[in-house]
Amino acid sequence: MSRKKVSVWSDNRFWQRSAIWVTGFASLLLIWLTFDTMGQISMGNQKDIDNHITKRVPSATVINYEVEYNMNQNRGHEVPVIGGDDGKGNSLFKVKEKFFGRDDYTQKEANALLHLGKLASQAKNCMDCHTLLGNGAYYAPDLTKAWLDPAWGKNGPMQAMTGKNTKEEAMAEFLQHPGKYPTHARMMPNLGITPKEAIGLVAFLKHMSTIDTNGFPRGFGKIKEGVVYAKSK
Amino acid sequence: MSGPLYVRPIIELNDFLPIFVSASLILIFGAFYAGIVTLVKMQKLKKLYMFLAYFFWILQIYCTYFLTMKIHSQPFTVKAMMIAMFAYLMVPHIYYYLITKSEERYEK
Amino acid sequence: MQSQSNFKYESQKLGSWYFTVAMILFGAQLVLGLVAAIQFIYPSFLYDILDFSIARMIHINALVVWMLYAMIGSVYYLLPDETGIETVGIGIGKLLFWVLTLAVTVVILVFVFIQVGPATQATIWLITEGREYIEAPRWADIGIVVVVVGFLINTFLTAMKGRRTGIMTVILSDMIALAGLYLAGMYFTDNISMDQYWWWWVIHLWVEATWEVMVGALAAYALIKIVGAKREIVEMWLWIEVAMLFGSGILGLGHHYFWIGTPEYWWEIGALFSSLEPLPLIGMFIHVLYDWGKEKGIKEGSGEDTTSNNTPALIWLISNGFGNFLGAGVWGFFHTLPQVNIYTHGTQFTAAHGHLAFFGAYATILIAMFYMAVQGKYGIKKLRATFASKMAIFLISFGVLGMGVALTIAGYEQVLIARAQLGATWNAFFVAQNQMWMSQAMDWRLIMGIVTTVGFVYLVKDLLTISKNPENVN
Ligand code: HEC
Ligand code: HEM
Ligand code: HEM
Ligand SMILES: [Fe+2]
Repeated sequence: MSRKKVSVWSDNRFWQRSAIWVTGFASLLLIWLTFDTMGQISMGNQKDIDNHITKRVPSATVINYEVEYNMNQNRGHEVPVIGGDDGKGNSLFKVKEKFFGRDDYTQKEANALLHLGKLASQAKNCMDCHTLLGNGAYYAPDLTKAWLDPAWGKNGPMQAMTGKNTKEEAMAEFLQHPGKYPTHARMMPNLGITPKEAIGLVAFLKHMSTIDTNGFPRGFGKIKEGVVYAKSK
Repeated sequence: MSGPLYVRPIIELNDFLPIFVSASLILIFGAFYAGIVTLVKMQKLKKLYMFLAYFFWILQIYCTYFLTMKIHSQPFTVKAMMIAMFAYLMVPHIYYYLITKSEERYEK
Repeated sequence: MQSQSNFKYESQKLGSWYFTVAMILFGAQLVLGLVAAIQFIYPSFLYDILDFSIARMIHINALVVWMLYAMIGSVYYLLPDETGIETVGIGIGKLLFWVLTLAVTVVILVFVFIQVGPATQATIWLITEGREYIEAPRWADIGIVVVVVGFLINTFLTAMKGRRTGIMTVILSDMIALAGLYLAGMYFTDNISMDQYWWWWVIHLWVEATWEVMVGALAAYALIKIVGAKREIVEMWLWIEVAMLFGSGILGLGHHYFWIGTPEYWWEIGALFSSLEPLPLIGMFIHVLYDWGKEKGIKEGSGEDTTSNNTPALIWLISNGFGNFLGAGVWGFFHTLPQVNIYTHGTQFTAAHGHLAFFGAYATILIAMFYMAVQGKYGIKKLRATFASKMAIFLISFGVLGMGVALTIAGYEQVLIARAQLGATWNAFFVAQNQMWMSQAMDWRLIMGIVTTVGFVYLVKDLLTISKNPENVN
């Protein structure tokens, strides 16, 4: 073929190389960021808690502690606060809270519960009705901070409804027999969750509420009208 | 003190609709801009219509400005938006330049 | 699969088998979508029999699988055209088709009849992995990977032996990336943040990077085939599109890392790169229109018949350019900035965008490929649109757009009430769900879903009978 003044801009190979370079560069950047992120979101352990180190994804043993979701002055948004608040929205890692009657779960026990709960969440497909960390389906409430939902608290209706005295027992009871405790016409079905799986799931939910989600969902449970407790259907 | 500092400032209830509308218009105006530029270059429209194209680009900028203000952007987002708008300005021209070059090369 | 087939190559025939299964799965997707939509309005419908989660899981899995089928089918279909030879190892290719189809059938039956399992690894291996879009159990994952590797070997050997075109180079490298990413979806971890981090590698890097590039390559092929565009130019564009799509899409992944436990720097990265993602989509749209207009102009100039040689495929191709821009570009951009996304994350807005984007970017062009296969099968020179072709495109597009609008209104209401005003609790969620705007939007979604389904029936009818249209030129 006779090539007159040919410009690189119309050269196929030039664009092919550009595509390869751009893709390679973007991929490398992504891989580098992934390494950094992996470091930051790897799960902590009890030692971190003992040393008062706040992890984005804390140890499974947070189930031994009280959890809140408060405004953090430095971060400029709400963060999970574990074991008490220092007044500025930082975790004190002091105040314990009983979880199914105990607050001394060892690392191993806590890990096992979380493992069971995570497996159950996948085996029962929670994510195809609910959102977890905001991802999933939009048929039922977001579970990111479900542990902190006022409906489960002392002033909420769920403990009385399920006849239990603690949040975790109420949740476990609900998860096993959701059809028995309907609060809306749109009910959660019975998924054959066993008592053990229910405990694992509640541990999973409590742990998820301690993940630092950069302030999502905003104002969870803080807005008065939002906690006018479950009216009926 | 006027309450805590939010890094993701709260959006006023009445601002949501304008935010969603302006965000959509950014791209819709952008498509008009790119579309008209292409049609002019293809000589399907008179050169005069280039004014209309740039007018749409200005509308696009306005919507972007409006959006970035309404969501209380930090400097970074503002810069990202400026880059995006500049890219929009250039892209149809670059496209067309490349089309002509490649046609010169392969069609003759 | 009938005897009167005009296919010159077995590979094209295999492609049409893939298309047939794709259409069946598309139908299943719509039916289960209707079930899920009904459950939004009448929650007792099939409660404890076929729960919403199951209906939805099949809806979106059928979606992903039919699109993968249609993409694989497209590659088998265009392979001989591009390389000039029969696909190497076509017998293995056919065997793999049956293996894959059997596996998909078993997975669907298990989803329908067994649904959920106990909290053990065995459930993950045999019943479901419970991760949205890629719920298929692990045995099936491995099966899929094996089949895809076989398919890649088919393609690779053929491309090496025959003519090597730019389109084939892009498709081949893209398919390798696409298959590799799937591995990230098989990973189990107790750490939900880590889980979601890798899960998005599959979902986002599929739909906003590798699948989009696949669309670019198919559009390039279709432009050459049905509009008569020049290969060198189309391929140059393809490379530019690859650069832009990967350049923005790979790091655009950041827009899913705002709130899942990942560090704040993803706010900036996600905002910047995902704001650039619509640019290549505008480019692709203009490219299709430009080539179409230009070739038409050339034909006009030389007094030829200006209609394209496959009208239905061309209409679907143009709606792809437009739909991709609208569903992925406009609807994607408006919730992609973190300031906005903190309110819209995980609301009906996301569903609106999901429907419009999957339909606009992928369903449209894959349907165009179906029409090209019909044209090839019956050896028709000029395939003209029938009444059913027009009804199909009108009703399906109108229906999906209607669903998108209804869901957008629902999302707006949900953002205002559940998120901005009430703080996203359990109660806030239901206050928003029970508002009139939401419940009416759900009614409209169902109505528009039915419209879509009627359009689909026309599409099936048309694909089966269009070859008999007397207006076709043979
Ligand atoms: C078929 C859909 C479906 C599936 C699957 C499902 N849920 Fe639910 N869930 C619902 C609905 C609907 C509600 C609201 C019930 C009501 O208000 O009466 C709900 C409510 C809840 C609540 C109380 C709401 C809150 O915010 O605290 C929790 C906790 C919960 N589900 C956890 C789970 C877990 C854990 C799983 C997985 C093991 C799961 N759900 C699976 C539909 C589902
Ligand atoms: C063809 C291309 C695309 C397809 C098929 C697609 C599809 C989807 C789907 C299905 C989801 C929901 C995922 C879930 O279930 O959680 C989603 C989420 C999202 N998409 Fe896209 N998308 C595309 C392109 C884009 C583009 C170009 C942008 C931005 C400019 C974008 C921005 C987003 C954002 C921000 C979310 C997260 C929504 C949330 O926070 O809930 N998408 N996309
Ligand atoms: C008969 C027509 C359809 C109906 C009634 C329907 C209904 C639904 C319903 C009820 C959901 C669940 C949403 C939720 O979790 O709240 C859903 C999800 C989804 N559908 Fe459809 N659908 C239809 C057609 C389609 C088509 C044609 C496509 C794409 C080509 C599609 C793609 C999706 C996607 C991607 C999701 C997941 C969205 C997300 O997670 O954000 N649907 N659909
Ligand atoms: Fe994305």
